[in-house]
Amino acid sequence: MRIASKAITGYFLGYWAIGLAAGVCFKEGGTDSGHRLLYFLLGNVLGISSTWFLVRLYARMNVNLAMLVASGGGFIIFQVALWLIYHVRLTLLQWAGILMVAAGMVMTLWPPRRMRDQMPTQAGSPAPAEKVTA
Amino acid sequence: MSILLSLFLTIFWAMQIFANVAFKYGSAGGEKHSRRWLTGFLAGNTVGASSIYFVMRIYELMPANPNLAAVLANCGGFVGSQLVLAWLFRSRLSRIQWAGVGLVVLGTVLATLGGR
Repeated sequence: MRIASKAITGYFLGYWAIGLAAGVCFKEGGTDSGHRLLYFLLGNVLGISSTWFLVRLYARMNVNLAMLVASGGGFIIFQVALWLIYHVRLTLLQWAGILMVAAGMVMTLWPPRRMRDQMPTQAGSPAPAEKVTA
Repeated sequence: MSILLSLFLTIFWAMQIFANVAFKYGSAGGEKHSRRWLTGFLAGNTVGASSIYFVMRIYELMPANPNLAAVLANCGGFVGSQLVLAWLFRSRLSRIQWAGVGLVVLGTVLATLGGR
């Protein structure tokens, strides 16, 4: 279980990191007209590559939770990155929204005890043992 | 809301849902890059990437309100995908987890529309 959780964490981090790089490329492409095509292509290659991690996550855990945590986390990381890298000033409402997304992610990953055993796998179809040790 | 805007939104949502279903379909192939895995991966990325065209058309039809366009497109695609994936793959989420899904959507709306 612990090995499976480590792999899942790694896939989430990979998805978020490459997704963030793609987002930054699109942002740069939008503002740096001299390298627009380069950033557009690079952003798309990175964006498509990040889905490799998403498919891995879909194979290892509940598809709804995987999608929610991947999208919610990606959204938060990109907003915070824009704030840190480009010094975009976020309003109080935007910070509240980011906190709500984080709270929603925590809520979905904090299931009641009876659900806890099913967490890393698709409900009703436990993951094969070889996936855990991969 | 114009008919064209509704049409583009519906097509974009459908493409996003299809892409996620394709990824999940491909993921059933497990860790190995089987034919099923490759089919799901390629189909999801082809349809998902093509859907960007419709987002651009949605932005074009809502020039005065790009934030609302982003919320409508992204949150609609997200909620639709969550519901269809739960239905197709019989995913059992608790009420608290569904409330978490709702909170993520509300937070995204707030963060997108709450800008200066």
